[in-house]
Amino acid sequence: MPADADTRDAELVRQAAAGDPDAFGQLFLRHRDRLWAVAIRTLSDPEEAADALQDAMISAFRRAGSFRGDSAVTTWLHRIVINACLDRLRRKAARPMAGGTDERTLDHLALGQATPDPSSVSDTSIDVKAALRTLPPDQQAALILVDMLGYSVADAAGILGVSEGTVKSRCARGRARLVPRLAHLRQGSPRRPGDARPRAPGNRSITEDVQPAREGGDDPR
Amino acid sequence: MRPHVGAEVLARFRQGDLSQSRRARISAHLARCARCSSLNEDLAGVTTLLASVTAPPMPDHLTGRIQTALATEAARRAVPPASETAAGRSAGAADSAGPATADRAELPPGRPAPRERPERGWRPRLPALSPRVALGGLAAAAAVVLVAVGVYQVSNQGASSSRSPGSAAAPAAGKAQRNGILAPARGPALEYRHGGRQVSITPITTDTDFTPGKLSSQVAAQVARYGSRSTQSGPMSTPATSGTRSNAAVPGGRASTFGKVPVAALEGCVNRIAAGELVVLVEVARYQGSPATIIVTELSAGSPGQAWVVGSACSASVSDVLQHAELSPAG
Repeated sequence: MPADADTRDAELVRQAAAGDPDAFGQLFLRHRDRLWAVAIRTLSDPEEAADALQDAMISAFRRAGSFRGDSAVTTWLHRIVINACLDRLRRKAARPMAGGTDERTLDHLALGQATPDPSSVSDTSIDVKAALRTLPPDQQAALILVDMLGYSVADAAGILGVSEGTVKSRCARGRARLVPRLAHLRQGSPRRPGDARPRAPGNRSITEDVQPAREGGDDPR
Repeated sequence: MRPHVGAEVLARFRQGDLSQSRRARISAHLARCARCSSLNEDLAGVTTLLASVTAPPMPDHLTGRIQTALATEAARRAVPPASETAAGRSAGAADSAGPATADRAELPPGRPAPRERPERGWRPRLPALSPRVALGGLAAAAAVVLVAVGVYQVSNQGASSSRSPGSAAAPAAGKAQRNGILAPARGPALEYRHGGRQVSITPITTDTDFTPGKLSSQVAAQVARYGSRSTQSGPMSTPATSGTRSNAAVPGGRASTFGKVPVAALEGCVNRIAAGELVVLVEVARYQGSPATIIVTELSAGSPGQAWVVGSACSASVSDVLQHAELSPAG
């Protein structure tokens, strides 16, 4: 982000902290698309992403007074949004909802059915998102920022509040785990609704496909 | 031939974060090992696939919803909590709403202005309902949100008279409180976040069957009858547990269900849907004949609002919105 934009952001945060009722709304408008992109890719469900983004914005607004400019405002906002989303992911993981979207998607993957999706997102996207969901949240977050959204490792490290080495390590682990789960998508053109799966459902169980431990063949683990 | 390279090592190799000598060994191995070079391509493919994932655009209404929530928060700060009144909140919100609305003309170049039309990608709205988005309501410094939470059939007097979901729908309407003519049963206080504090709302249950064609007027009537606007005009100073009268009270604690609705899920749902706004009505009822719970929140009195109808899965972690509509100004 250009320095002048960053300066303007910092000014808006100061104004918000000083009681300007409108400054934070402006700040949100300046960043909403990027922040939405993070939220929707982390949570998939638009309603949940919307809730997380709203919670994050309120939370950021309340913390505007303690923003010290140690990082760029946009980094700070991203961090609050992705943490709000990861909190929700972890809560969901702790208490899986019966019939939740992810399980439904995985069931369809296992059965080789086209996933019914009213927003007609491509099947490839659905498969990739479902595979991503099988990773630990930290790895998901790293891959969402670096591979999905194209942030630099340095930016992702700033957003996630970890070292660049940690981001790289999470990305490497996550990509390695995804290889066997996405192999079918690279063996031909994307599946169309109703097409048979490239692999027969009976050959490999969804469990096998989802188990993280066995991907590399000779993987040292 | 050296041992094959593991996927994670290869992923690190691709990032360039291995030692130079190790990188050289792996490069040499890749040059003559079809299996590992195929894995290497697969890893490249993972990144390509991740980058190709599409996501729905930000829903049109969300900008307005979040701006409204931010304006609420700003208004809360503008008025000292101790002396806060409904009028004070309203004035504070109006102060913040004007500039916020004006800002829409100052969006960064290339960014589409918020569009005033119903959101897409959510469940369809009722044609009879106004398509205004919340941003429109922001100028009026207030918002009302109605949430109908689909739940099991709730009969009139709670657990003792509750029926099975299958048998309850029709006959329950014949019982004492029809559309709230009699005082509805009240449930345990539900705590939720508003303006940075925990406040509470006492849910009611009625046999009202909200219908698509009359949703707005039905909701307005219920808010007029049962809405806690007057008692919560200073909600931030209302103790979180005051006024609780549980219909299935457990001595020393609150009931775990209200009718057949798990209270914890209902409370989570209220928090999730209200998203920081002031809740003035939670009504466990029906929508199109199916069990439903209604929650109304507002930013200040007499404002246009939004109506949400959500399914039985509504909880702290799932919205399950069945319907969403704008309400007309209460006048």
